[in-house]
Amino acid sequence: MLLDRFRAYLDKLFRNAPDKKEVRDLREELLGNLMSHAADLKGSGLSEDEIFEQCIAQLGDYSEAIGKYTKTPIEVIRDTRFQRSVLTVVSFILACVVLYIIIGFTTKHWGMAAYILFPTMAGLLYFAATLLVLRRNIGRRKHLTTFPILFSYAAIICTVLFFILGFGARLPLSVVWVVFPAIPVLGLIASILVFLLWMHKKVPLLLTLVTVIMTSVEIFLISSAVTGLWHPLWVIVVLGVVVSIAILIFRLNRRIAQKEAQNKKGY
Amino acid sequence: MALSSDVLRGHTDTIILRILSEGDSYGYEIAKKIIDAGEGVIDIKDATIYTAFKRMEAEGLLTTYWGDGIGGARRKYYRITQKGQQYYDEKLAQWKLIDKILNNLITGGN
Repeated sequence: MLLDRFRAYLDKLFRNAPDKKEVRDLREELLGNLMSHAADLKGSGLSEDEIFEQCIAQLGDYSEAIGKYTKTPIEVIRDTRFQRSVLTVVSFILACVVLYIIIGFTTKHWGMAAYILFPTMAGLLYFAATLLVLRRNIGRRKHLTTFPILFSYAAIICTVLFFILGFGARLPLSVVWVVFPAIPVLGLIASILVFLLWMHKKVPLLLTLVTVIMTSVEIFLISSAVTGLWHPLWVIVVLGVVVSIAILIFRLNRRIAQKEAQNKKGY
Repeated sequence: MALSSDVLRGHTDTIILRILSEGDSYGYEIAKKIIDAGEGVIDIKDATIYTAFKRMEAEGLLTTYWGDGIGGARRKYYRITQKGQQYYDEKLAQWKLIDKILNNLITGGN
């Protein structure tokens, strides 16, 4: 569908543009112009591909217009909002370190204090950061990062539940660590894959490679824990890496071939 | 053969204001009107018109509003302001004078 193709084209055009109202307005204006042009060409006997190419060609070069909205790294660093954010995070971390030192000196349980305080600090920082992103996403109807964030929360909950159940069932620690990657990590990857396929989205190459490697690692861990043959069975991980490299080469070659075909078409 | 949009350089703003003085319009429609009136000789891209829009909007010659689009996408419409109309009238008077002078110079008044 032309609307989807134009949106995909504009996603690429604006991929490095900052998330500002002026940029969103420009993007929407370009989409409106593209669809109007396409509507004009619809009765002309051209194919959808030809209509797409003509409309994109008529747009011209917007890189200068978009570039005006992009900040240089120096401008980002000089932005007071960025500086305030960095100061807030650093202050929070320093406060946690001071609290750790106080708890350590008063209770003498340095190890336990570290195991409780620093993961809690990291969790709170992650929770605060993702809440800010989710609030922006909901307000601006951008959901590119919403689902990965929700999946990460699901993975964290599954991990905590898994360890609680594992220790509650008095499983040996070695069994818990061996099976650990399966439920939360592979579960997270599997749910992302299912989501992408359900939404008819393209599965990112990196996700495919991570899935293959993680699956091979998990097969190695489980089979080694069951059989005790740790040394010979590491070849399963090697096989997983080999398969990943083969997939990588295949997908890269396909991408290069598609780009060459596009260049030959002249846009 | 379509000439470069350099042919229009210096006159793009005036041309856009003339089109808008006849009624509100949006980017693609304005580009289409210029290309159609150019009788196949003039080629202008949306990006060139957009640059002119931003400049004139900053100078208060135009205002904008969102209107209904087509196929699920909105259109950004441009409207000439009173200041824009005055600017166009001045430019039109200048053009008529220059046109007369150049015509005399180039054709010898024939």
